[in-house]
Amino acid sequence: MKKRDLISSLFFLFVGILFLIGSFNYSIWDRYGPGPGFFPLLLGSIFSILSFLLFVVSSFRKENKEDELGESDSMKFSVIHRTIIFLCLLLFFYFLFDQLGFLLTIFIFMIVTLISFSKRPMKLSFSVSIFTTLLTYFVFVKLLGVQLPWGVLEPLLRFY
Amino acid sequence: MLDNILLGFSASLAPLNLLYCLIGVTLGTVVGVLPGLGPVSSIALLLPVTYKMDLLSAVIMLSGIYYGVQYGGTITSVLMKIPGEASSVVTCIDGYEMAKKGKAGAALGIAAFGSFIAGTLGIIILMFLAPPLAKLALMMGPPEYMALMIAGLSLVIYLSSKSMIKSLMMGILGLLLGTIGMDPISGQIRFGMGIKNLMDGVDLAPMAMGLFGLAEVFSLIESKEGSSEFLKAKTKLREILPNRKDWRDSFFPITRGSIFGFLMGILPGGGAVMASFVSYAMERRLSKHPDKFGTGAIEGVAGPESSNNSAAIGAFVPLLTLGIPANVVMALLIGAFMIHGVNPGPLLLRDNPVLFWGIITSMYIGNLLLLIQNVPLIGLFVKILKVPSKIMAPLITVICFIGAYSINNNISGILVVIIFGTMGYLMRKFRYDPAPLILAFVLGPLLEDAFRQTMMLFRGDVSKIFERSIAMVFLGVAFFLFISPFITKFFKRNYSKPTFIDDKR
Repeated sequence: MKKRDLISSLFFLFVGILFLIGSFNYSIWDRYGPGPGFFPLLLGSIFSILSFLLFVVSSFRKENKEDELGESDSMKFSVIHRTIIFLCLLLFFYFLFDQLGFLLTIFIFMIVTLISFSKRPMKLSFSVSIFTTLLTYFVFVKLLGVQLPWGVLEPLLRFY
Repeated sequence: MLDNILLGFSASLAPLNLLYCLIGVTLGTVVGVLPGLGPVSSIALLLPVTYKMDLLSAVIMLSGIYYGVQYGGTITSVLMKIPGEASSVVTCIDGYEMAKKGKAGAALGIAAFGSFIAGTLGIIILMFLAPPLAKLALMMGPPEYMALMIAGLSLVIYLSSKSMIKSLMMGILGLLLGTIGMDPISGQIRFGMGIKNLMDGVDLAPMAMGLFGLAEVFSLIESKEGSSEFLKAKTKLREILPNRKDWRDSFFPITRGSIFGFLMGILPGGGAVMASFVSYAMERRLSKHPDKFGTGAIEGVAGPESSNNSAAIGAFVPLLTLGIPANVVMALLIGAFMIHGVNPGPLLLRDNPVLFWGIITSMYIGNLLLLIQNVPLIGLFVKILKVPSKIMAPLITVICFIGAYSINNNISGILVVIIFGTMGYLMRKFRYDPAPLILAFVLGPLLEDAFRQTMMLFRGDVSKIFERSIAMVFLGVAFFLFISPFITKFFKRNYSKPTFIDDKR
């Protein structure tokens, strides 16, 4: 945990300094009192100090038994590789949602995720993907009237 | 008072509101049963859906989810020792032991009835306490509000995790994120970086969906196997209704839990989780047979289950009378109010009595609906657990994404969910608690507003705060919360601070 506290505190120190510097772009104090830059300046300063404090405390702290990490805390590639693949699938969803449209994107996302992670029969993965796509359509589009992009399936709207 | 109650019932008993109440409590129970998916992510998920709804219907449905979750969380705690909700963690201890002895029905029954009694008692107290509190709130100025918000934030930070410095950092980060967007006083855009979508700041709903919902999905994906352990669990619901002895043993724990839970719920940062923990400790201390606790004592189920339901109702007091969220769920409910251009607070009772009393009376109906549907439907809810987590994970993701997209009909909502989801996942790995961050994010603009108004009022002289007695009491509480771990540590070397998150998670 010590190593992670050191890394995270340095990252947060960087974030704090960014806010601190950024706050000088706005008026800090005017004749009526604190300006729009005062609160971020104050918070940015406190945040940076706390991050630095965590860094110092972590540097001097010895690793003890309590710091031993379980598998759920592990950052080893063998543990987090599924998460990385899933994150790529999420980004696929984000980049193709407008272009492919919601029906195709949801179906592809569901089926690829289920095949990659659940190791269930193909038939089941296919049925669940179809079910989710149709459920989204009926609940969000038909029932709640949410406007979702149709993408390449836009011509289908003529029959809609 | 009677006129107001009748006015409330006439609104909450309207067929459409009744339907939304039923949807809310049913959804809440389902969410409570599902481990991981809590009231925060489900309310955040449904927030965009309420755009097209009437405000009263929206709040009735969302609050139904909130107190419905407390009911649902019990089911898995008792049957499988898996708390569906954080506030049901304590119920696992004696509830599961009771189930092992073949008394699952009695445990679930007393939890359902206890929750109903506590919920109803809580509503009665709320009815009598809310109007005078609203009047008191009108006497409070910006310095008092500022101090109250600082005290609330301090309590959340104090309770959130074992590392005070990390919780404090998350609180400050939440406040910093809250400064992004338009400055409420000067109208200037801060930290917008030229991105159009950041002009109004970061949206609360996608942020909450990411930090809580998607982060949970990441953990589900990472785990090796889905819900096979649920499938193996054997349960017997021999008897649903508790017997006379069970009732006798549970009477005082339910009464104490109801009153104590309500008081814990009122305090900003208190909430259902803390109430259930403290109630369990209190019942154990007051019991004539403390050694029975942990081996299937019904008092260990009745007390915490009553107190977490009562606390859920108590949390509505600061929301409806002061406009201040006591916890993250209440912060999201403020979002629902704001979507419809209504500010909850002391003026709500005067300006919108139908809404105020409609919400309160709907809770009576909601509690009754929960009791009616929970007792016979326990078996059905157990079946939901058999859906493997690896199938649930992409399903939850799709719902999160569509919900985020529908807020502004913009793809950026999905990106916000992904960013905060990844952040939430990393925060778990690095052991940072997201609860103070999200509450501080909501309180941030309100706190800044109150702070700047206070400074204008005092003409920059901070020392004038010492002349405001109410504000000083709140600031004193905040100060005490910050220094108390150090004092206790000084006197007791083996001290372990009570927390409401599982640090081993």
